Amino acid sequence: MDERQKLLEQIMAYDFCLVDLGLFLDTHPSDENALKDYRMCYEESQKLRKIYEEKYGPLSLRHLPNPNCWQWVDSPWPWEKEA
Amino acid sequence: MFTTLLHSHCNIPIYIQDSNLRNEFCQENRKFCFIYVIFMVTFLCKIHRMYYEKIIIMEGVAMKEIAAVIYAGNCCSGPSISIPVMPDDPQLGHTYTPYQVYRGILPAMEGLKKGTVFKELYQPYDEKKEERLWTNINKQPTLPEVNKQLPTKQTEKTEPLINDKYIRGTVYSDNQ
Repeated sequence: MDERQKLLEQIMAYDFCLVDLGLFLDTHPSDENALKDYRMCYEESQKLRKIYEEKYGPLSLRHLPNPNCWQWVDSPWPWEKEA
Repeated sequence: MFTTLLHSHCNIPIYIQDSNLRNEFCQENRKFCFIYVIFMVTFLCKIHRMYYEKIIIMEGVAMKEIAAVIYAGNCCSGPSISIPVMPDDPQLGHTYTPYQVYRGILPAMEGLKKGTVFKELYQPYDEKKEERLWTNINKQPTLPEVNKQLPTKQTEKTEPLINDKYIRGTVYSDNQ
C-alpha cells in the first residue's frame, strides 16, 4: 500500500470515528469524555486532510485550496486507480 | 558459641548467640510467617473479588448498578439527570435497551476494521459460543410444575400428557 492510500485510510478511519461518536453523542450530548474524544478525532482528521490535500490534491469539491485554478481534474479518477 | 544470621519478615538481620534462644526465635518466626501468609491470602482474595465484581459489572451482568449522569438541555447545561442503564422495575410487554455508558474508544483504524469504535459493541457472531449458550440452557431442568404434580399412575397410562385434565387455568367460561 502506497503512502497516499495509507493516508486516505487514516482519514477514513478518523471520519468513521466521528460518525460513530456522533451517534453516541446524539443520546449523550453532555458526555464530557466522549466530547473530548470527538474533538481529538476531529482535529486529527482535519490535520490529516490538510496534509493529504497539500500533497495529492483536494478531497472534496467543498474544500478546493485555490478556486482560481481547477485542481479537481488533476487527481486520478476512480478508473485511473491502480489495481 | 556461634552466631546465626536470621532474616525476619522485615529483612533486618538479627544475630543470636544462644542456641535455645535461636530455636525459640525460629518457632516464633514460623508462627509469624504463617499468620503473614494467611493475611496475604485473605488480602489477595479480597482484591480478586473486587476485580471479579468489577469485571462482572463492566461486562454488563450487573449493569443496573451503573448510571449515566446527563444534563438536560442542549449543551452541558440544565439540571443533571441520572439515567440507569436499565430501569429498576422493568415492565412485562416492554422492551428495553441498556443505556450505554462511555468507556472510551478503540484506535481509529481498529474501529474502522471492526465496524464500531466502541469495544463493548463489537460482538462478532461466534457459532460455538452461541451453541454452548443454548446447550447450557437446555441442560437446566425446564419441566413445568404441572408435569411434576402428575400422579405416577396417570403417567404410566398411555394417555397423552396434554389434555384438558392437566391444563392449568380456566378453559371454560365461568357459567359452567
